[in-house]
Amino acid sequence: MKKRLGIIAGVLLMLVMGMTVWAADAGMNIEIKKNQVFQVNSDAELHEQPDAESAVAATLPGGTPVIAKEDAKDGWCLVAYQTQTGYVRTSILGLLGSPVIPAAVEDQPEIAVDETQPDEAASESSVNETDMALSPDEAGADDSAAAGGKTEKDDSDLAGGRAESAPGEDNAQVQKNALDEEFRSVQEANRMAYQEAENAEKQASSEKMWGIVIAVLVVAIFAVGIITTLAGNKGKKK
Amino acid sequence: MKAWYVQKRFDILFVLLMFCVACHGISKSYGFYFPADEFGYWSHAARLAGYDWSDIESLGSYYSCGYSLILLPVFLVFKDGVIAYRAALFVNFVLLAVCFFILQKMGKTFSAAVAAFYPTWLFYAGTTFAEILLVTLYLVICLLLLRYLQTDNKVYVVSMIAVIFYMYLVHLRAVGVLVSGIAVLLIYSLRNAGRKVKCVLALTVTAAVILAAGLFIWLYLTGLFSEDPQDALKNVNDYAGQIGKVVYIFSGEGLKNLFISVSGKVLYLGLASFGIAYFGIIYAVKRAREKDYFSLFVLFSTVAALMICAIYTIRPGRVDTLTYGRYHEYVMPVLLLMGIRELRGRKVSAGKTVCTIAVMLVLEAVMTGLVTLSLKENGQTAFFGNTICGISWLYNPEDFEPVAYYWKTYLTSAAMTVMICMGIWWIGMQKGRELLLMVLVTVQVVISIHLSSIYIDASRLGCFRDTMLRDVLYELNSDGGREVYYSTEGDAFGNIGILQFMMRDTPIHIVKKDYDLDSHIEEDLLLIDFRSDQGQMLEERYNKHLTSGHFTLYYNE
Repeated sequence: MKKRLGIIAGVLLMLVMGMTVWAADAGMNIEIKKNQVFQVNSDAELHEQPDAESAVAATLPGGTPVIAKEDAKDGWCLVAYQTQTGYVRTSILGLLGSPVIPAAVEDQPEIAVDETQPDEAASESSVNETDMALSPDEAGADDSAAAGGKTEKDDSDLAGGRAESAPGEDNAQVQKNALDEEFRSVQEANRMAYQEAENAEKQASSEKMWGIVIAVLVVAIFAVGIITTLAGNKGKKK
Repeated sequence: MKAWYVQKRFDILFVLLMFCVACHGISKSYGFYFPADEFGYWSHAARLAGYDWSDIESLGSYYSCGYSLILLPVFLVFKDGVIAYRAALFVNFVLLAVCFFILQKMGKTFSAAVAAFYPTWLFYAGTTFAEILLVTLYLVICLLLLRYLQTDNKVYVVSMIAVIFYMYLVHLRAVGVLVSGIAVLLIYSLRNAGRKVKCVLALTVTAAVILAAGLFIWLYLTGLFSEDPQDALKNVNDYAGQIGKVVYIFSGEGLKNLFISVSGKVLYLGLASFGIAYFGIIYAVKRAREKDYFSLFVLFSTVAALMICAIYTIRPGRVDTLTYGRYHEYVMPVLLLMGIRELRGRKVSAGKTVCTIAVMLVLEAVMTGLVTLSLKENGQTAFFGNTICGISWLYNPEDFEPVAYYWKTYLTSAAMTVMICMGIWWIGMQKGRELLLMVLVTVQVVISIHLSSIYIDASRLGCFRDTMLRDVLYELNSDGGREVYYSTEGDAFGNIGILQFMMRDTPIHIVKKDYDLDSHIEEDLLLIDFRSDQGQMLEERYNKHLTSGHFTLYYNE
């Protein structure tokens, strides 16, 4: 009896471990589906084709939220941000609020110079990127937007601002606060983009639901028709 | 209760299916798909409800007010633009359900379903175009005429005339139904009345013809002496622009173009119905010969609708106008019903049916050839697939070549024609196989959803973004102290109707593109078309701008 229990416990343990590994793995590889909102985890080039050699339509700073316009395929995904659309590698996409990977050192000399305060530099770098993402002009927003596009030009500083690192605080906490702040500011600046993404998601699910209901009804009509015909035939035979 | 349910089970299921197809589209709708036309209908309702949209109204063409009477209660009950629009779409689907029940009174349940689920109707029901009301009224007229012929009860004929006049108020192009209805009633009365009544009728007809000719000449002269006769010819919603076209028909070139135009419209009927409409015409001709006045009415109204559509679009500016379907499609459900009856009622050999189909396909090929020749000759490239929904399900904007497109559509439709017509003929030969018509209904539902996805869905995003801009405008003008202006430019004015409809309480004023901006305008809110090139100039005057949907908003804080 004890042996059996031991085997069951062992199997369960293996199952739990397996599921944990699977869950962690799933967490690492997010599934990219149409109309979901992600962010680019670092500066990303929007290519005209799902090919690294194809022309670059625009560049988005890390942390910019994007909407997947199609399901990911062959490591590429068609995404849109405001008026810009293009293909990015799926490896660069992450969930909203994921840590943003700083751009290459040569792109940000002001950060590379200050080597004495690495934490502050890291914090500053993410804030700079946030500012870039928030500022539509820098994000590549164009006044001659295509149909339905939207941009906002604002002379004043956008909400969010800079995350100051507090001396003595735990590094992780500082980073978390900075990310939270960054996420909030991105959210504020892209309120309309979020509204739109939310709406797109709602519409997609509503479309799917009604599609299923329509299919069920069509099948139901066929079923009722077949039953009626069979019942009629039986009646005739009798 | 159980017996009622058993009897009505298919009716319930079909209405439910219609409701679900409606919800599939309604939940995604935020505003006009055909902004200029839909605004034209809503603006009458708004005026009747006491709103002043005169500035935006002045930008559009003339629209009849019949449909606005249906929209008025919706407009009054629902204050939010998006909700009101969705409610109007729901009314469309209620009307479609009414169509289904009327068709059921004329034919069997599944045949009625094929006619009611005609993809174009499901597509138009996703917009506030007057098409659904037009087809409903046409079917009501048909039913009243049938009842009158069956019972000889005068109430039916009076109701029929009233509905015909109302239909005429919904759209002036329904004049074909008006003329056909009156003509059939006259023929019927003349054949069944005494000598005195015949004299009175003959005098009345003569007076009516003289009056109509007088009106025609007057309108023609008005067109000739208007400031810009060429501009008058462009009008599509009233008769002022049509008189010139009627006169043009009597020239050599006009006659040739009329022939091509009519061919295109007849081709549309065949391709869109997979040949069933042609069988419907055959059925109507046969029955009319046997003095069936209802079939005579269907024939007259079909010919009249075809001719009106052909004349309206005699100078095709676009690819789709050659085979324009929207103007004469309201006869389609009855033709479909008659076509199915003709095919099912054929107790003849398969050979004869195959021969008829073959002749149809050859005729269609000739007409497609004529249309493509005309396309090559005139070189049109612009294409609005939403006006020929019955034959634009293959449309792909990224790979569109007009001539190849028409041949591709012809070949696909021809293959479908053979399968569907032979299928219906076979169903007619077997008893209790009516259910198989459900396959055709399923195909129609799939086509309608596909049409919505390729045409309407693209505009829905723009309209949703317009609703977001509306919210911004309300936020900026929360104290009501600022006026909203729209700077017009070229022909790109239609979309402003979407915003005016959403902001019913705030009249949007018009300023011309080359205006000298007054200081007071700088304190107000200025909208321009998102494609406008006025941006640079306006950025000097306004410190903020926001582009969303179809517009860019300029304002100072």
